[in-house]
Amino acid sequence: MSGLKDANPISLGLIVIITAGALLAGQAMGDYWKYVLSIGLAQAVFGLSIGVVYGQAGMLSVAQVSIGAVGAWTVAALSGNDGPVPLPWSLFIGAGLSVLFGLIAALPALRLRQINLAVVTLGIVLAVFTVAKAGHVPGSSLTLYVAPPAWGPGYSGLYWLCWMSFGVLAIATVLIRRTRMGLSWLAIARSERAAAAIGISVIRAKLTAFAVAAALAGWAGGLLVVAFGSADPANFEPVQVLTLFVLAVMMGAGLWEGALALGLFNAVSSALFRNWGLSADIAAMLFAVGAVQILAMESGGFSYDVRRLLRWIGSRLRWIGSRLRRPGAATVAAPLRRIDRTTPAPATVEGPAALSLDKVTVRYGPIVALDTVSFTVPKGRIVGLIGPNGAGKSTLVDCVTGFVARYEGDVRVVGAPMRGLSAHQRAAVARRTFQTERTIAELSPRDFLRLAAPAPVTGAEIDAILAFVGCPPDAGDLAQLDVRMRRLVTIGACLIGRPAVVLIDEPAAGLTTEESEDLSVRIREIPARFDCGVLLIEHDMELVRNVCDTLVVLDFGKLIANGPTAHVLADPHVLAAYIGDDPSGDQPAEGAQWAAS
Amino acid sequence: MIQQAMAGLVSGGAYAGIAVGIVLMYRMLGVLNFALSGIGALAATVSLFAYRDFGIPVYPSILIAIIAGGLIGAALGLIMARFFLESTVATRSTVTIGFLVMSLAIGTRMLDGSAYNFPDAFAGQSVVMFGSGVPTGSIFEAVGAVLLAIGVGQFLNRTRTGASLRAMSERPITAQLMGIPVKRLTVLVWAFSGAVATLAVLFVLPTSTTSFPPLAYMTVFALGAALLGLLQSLTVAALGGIAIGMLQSVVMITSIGQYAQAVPFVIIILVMIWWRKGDVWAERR
Repeated sequence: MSGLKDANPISLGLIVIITAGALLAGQAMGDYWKYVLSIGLAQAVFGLSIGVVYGQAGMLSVAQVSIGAVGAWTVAALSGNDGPVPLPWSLFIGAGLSVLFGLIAALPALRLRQINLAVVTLGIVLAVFTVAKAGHVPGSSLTLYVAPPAWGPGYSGLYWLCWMSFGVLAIATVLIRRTRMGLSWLAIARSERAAAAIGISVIRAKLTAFAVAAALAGWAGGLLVVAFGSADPANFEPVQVLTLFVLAVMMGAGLWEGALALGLFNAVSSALFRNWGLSADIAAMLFAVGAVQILAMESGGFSYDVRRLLRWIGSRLRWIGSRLRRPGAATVAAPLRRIDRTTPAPATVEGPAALSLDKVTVRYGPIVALDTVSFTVPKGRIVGLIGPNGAGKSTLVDCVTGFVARYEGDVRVVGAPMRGLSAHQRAAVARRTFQTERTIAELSPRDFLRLAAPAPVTGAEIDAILAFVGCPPDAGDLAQLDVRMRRLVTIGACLIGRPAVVLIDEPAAGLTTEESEDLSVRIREIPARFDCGVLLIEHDMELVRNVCDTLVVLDFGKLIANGPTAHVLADPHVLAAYIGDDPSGDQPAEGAQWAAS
Repeated sequence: MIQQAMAGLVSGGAYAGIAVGIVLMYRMLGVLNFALSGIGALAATVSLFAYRDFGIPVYPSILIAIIAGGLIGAALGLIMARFFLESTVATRSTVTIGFLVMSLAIGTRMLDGSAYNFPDAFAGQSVVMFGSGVPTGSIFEAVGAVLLAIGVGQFLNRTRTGASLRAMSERPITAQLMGIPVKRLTVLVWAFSGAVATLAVLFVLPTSTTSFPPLAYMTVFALGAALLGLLQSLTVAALGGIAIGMLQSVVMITSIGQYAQAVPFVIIILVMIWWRKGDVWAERR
């Protein structure tokens, strides 16, 4: 696992500076500023919460602060007026109860996305405020007074409680984000289908993101009560809630320093505005302007900009350093592999059926996309699936991997029926790639493979896969790789799941002849190395001929040919379907050269 | 019960007008405008100042407010056209949350909840319907919103400009390449919606609260109404707005009256989940 040595030097530097600053400020500041910073730190914890749900998982929930109201009410009810549960413990209970509320609030997010989710969560914001104002919920009464922890003179206890809270929770979120659960949040933000295709349950990812975020929000709500002395409904006023959300967007709360900046900036600027005799809402307005500006720049927020800048400076420094030491030490991708034409292609050994389709029919309304299609993909073999555009090839892949809601007939993987299994469950035995590239740009190839593995994997296993697809082991983020390499890493993500069958959808689209040849060599080796069957969808006939043992041809949803590659490619009916010639005509088909060559 | 429902026509009519603006903007510009009633409330406040501080008569000060609403809308529309033409719906809508925060910051310092005497086009007249006095303005507003919805719907479906607008909402860049003045139309739709929202808020002001935030939050209920029309039907949005206003008013006298504001949302969440029940995946393919 990643230890201290893998930690980001930027983060470590920031942590040292901030800790020193907090200690110094704690000695130097009076009670007023300790109070102000405490409120800021509580809001920074709200920032962490928004960072998880919106920054990581990409769900547009504006209600995170309102979900924290449960934490606030719990702390006031349990610890207020010397209540039954003393302070640190009521915070834990508040965070726990907030999780329950967070999970209820998450239910709409399972079906609603983007703006629809924003509207519904704004409704939650309004509802929570209505309840807070009514004052009937236990703990929501202003008469319950919570004394700050007496760990020092004045507000010192509060100040250190808030710093410790933020520190521990920020580290916790950073660590959680490196786990498979945390990576799954990033995956669903990028593409829910692609996430399910590598075995991630989208529902579980959403619920866990909401649960973790709700725990953070609940703790933050509790801290606010400790700071203010009671559960003031003003904290949950929609303006406040939305201002914090807008600030989270502006600061980039997906990173911990963004969340910290959000809280401190909000609290300190509000306090300064008050000191200058100005109303705090002017600050809110300036934040809104800043957020609009950040959105226009599409940078993800201020903290991301700063990190990019620091990383750029770091890379320049490293570049200069490498120039001084030894030139040309940059990492290079493995050379393109060529087909060895001197020895015959490695023979494949046919095993039992990896994938079998029996009279599979898929309808989209009146359109029959697949019409009683039956064939098998044996283990150890590569079956090509060809056909003109719109023939139903991708529908077939969708159907096998669980992305089609309703189909007739039977899909089996190594004899086990797939009916009733969801996409992420099917990913245990059948994995697929997508035509459009859906890797997670922010992840390294290693992290992406770790996420795609069904169980914890060793570094050696990941290295083996990376070597197989030809990806340099120390490559940066996937965003820095070219399309070909990202596609290969996606195929690697299928293979690390050790499926019985791999469905590869148009891997050669847009590649050069040499790149396509490299791809064919690697695909050819898959069945024997990974003990699986391969179904390859491709328009590149050179690749199909080099790689596939047998071919299946679809036309308008019907299976029109199935047999050995050379045989099928010479079939006039196949030619006609593909090129639009009349099979009964005397003239040889215009495209016959691809069959004959 | 019916009396209470009729009383809900006041806010219901305003929700209806704003909901029409929201659906129009969503369909034409691909933005869910969280700031619409905030814009309307800002502009309506301008009429208060014109009327009270400058002694401008009722009708001209209402006109000034509508123009102000159009101008504020146009200014924000310019920002959208300049910076967010190619953004996603979510990004554009998040920007309007920023606009809402801005409007709240400005608005709360203009209206502090004291009893203002807003210009009232109907001078407090009311019509007795089902045994309760309904302000004439509210009836005008509710009927007006529905007529506006029908009219705008016809305009979009029947005229060439309407067709351009629909083309623009689908693919702004393609529409621009086809010679449709996308930026100008964006500003125009924002200005028009701002003016409509101003009118909607103006009708409700003489009989409602005069603190700013509740006026700005009317958008939330209007959004609910817009969602009832699945963000597509202008007429359903207008009728939905009226219905939500009436429902709130009726709930107000029940035992859960304190939570009246929250009640429509329970219904809206259920409607939306039912509507999107088939959306297992975020993407089509």
